Amino acid sequence: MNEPLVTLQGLTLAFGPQTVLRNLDWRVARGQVIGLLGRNGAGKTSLLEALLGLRLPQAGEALLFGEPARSPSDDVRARIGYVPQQAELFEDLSAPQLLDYFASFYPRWNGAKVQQLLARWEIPLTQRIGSLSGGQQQRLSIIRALAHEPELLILDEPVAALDPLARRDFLRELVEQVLERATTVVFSTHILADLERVAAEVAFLKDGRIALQAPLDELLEQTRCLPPGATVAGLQPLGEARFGLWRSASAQWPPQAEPVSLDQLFEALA
Amino acid sequence: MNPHPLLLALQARRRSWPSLLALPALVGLLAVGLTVAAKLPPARVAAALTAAGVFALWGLLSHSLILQNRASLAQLVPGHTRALRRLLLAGSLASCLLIVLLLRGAGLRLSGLELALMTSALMAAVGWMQAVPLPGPLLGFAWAIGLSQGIDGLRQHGPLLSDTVSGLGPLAWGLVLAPLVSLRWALSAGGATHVVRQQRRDGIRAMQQRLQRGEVSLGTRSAQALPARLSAWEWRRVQTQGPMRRVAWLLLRPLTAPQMLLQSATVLLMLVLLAWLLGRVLPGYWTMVESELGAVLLPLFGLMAWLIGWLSSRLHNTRREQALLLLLPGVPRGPALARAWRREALGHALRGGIACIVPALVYYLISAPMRAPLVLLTAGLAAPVLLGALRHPAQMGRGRWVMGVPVLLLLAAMPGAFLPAWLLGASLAACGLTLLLAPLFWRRLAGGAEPFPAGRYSGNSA
Repeated sequence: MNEPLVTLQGLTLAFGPQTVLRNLDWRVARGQVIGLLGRNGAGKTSLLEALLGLRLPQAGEALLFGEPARSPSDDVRARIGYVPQQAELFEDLSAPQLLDYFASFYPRWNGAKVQQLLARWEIPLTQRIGSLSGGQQQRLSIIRALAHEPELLILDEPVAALDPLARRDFLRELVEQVLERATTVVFSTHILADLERVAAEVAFLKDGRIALQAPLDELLEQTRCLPPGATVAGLQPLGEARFGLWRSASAQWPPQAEPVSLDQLFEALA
Repeated sequence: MNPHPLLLALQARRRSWPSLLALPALVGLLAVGLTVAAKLPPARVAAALTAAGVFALWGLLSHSLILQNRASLAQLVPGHTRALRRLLLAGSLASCLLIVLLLRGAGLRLSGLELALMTSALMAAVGWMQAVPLPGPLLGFAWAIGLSQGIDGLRQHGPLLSDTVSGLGPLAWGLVLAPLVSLRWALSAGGATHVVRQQRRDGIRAMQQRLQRGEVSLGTRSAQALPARLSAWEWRRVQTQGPMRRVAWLLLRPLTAPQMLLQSATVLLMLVLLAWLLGRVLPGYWTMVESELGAVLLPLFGLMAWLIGWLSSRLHNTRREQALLLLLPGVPRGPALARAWRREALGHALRGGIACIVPALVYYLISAPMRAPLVLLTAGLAAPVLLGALRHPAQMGRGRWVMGVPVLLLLAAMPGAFLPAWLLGASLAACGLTLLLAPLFWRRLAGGAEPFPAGRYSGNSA
């Protein structure tokens, strides 16, 4: 019954000689909120684009709602919201014109919510989009993606251009969306503090594969940092051994074991 | 009531109403000018030019819709591409019928095939230069017009063909309009190929905008992509040259790279086609000029010379470029730099001038001397090359308005027989002024101990 909304099977994506994704398998189940983490150039954007059918993989397959991502049906398209890294908006339109334009394509459009967000996020209504600031354009892009109440929301660095207040407001909106509509969310970000506020799960992309995916709370709770040279019987280190991270749900931790932060996990796993 | 969102988007994408209004105004002026100057029937000229105007508007519509069809929207917004395709088809159908009616109403007898090929080539060239896949829709569009003209032409060839064509009835019109179906492929429906094509287009547009804003000169932009383009043999050759030559060669060489040559060739081809089309559309046009080739070719040599001069004057154009050049190891300073710069400048001027003026002179010598006015015009166009190349580096950012002058002159010269006296006078003045000013420019260039960097007074301190 709980069929994954996103299924990637053996996905390999290369740009010329450089392979970005290697035989990657990944599933995103309904209702999950996943923060995608990875170093610069790890392939996060490529992964999200391949997942949406915007990149043609050399091998493997991407399925959205059980359909091939390369040619999704209108029904599937109406269930997806996407905020790209760089907002793709018609610069010569005003914000209301742009939203009217997109409203005409979707079977469902929450106009009241759009008005509310436009007012709350202080988007100028008469200016042309091209003259808005980068942050305002990004907020408009987010409103556009939320307005048709998608079941799957893909966000590529959505908060990169936002100031701290706008970031907090956006995250609040995202949490509300998830709680109200059980929206499935996949988003990439570098701002780990935001991730801790929102993401139920984290997925680390490294060497073209999902190195680890786990519920964030569980991961933080089960992982400890040990001094160099220390080991725990029967366990393998998490990530590279030099970082001294170990994970277990039931291990008896030595007294010098310390709790870890998301920063440390990122360093070891991404 | 709000207009349909699609139309709204189109309208807003073309916010620059002055440029839209300028098009019909230009067409109108051209019509009046041709009617008066060539004593052609006003109705015929007006109909032909209105048809051309409709064609241009159709080009704007197609171009705008192609830009509007972003890859992520095509992939993820339900029905987006479908709606754009419907609009393109409807617009094309209406334009196509209007053009056919205008041409027939004016009684212009054109070969359908000729017209189809001509318009295809012309707009394909424009589309290629703008990195917009116009050839696809264009072929369908032009073919539809061409076939309709062709059917009309068949009717003129005797009763048998006329009866056959009439007998075909709706089938004939079906054949005419069928190519329009191909328009759907002009608008991709998302996916990886669409993304790649869009990125390429965005890259070219971004580069054009940066060039227009003066943030980067052609030399810098070309040099950025240089390492990937140079073969090992070329790199070795570069290494063996002196620093000044090396930098100039590195910056100028990409301008002669295949894509630049192709673009130049495309411009020339478009102008030749335009002249030919004028000759086909306006009866009596060619009888008023001495020869088809001379009227087109000679001014083109002038334009080529101007183009080369303009490109070389963009070299080391900005303060930043000049500062970077100075910091390169081995680049001389002081009088040595001034000497090296002077040598390079003169080299560019001579190369540009020789490459264009010599063929023009050869052409003049082997043809009748009656073409002297055209040769004078060619020389007038080519003369500023020398001055452009000899400009002091401190003045490099100035005088951009000069760029438009040769193009205007050339446009005025295209209907060769209409060369007014003032144009010939201007050409003569340009030649005389060049001869007068060149020694002064040379002395100023030679006298400056330190031509670089341009500094804040250069007018281009980017």
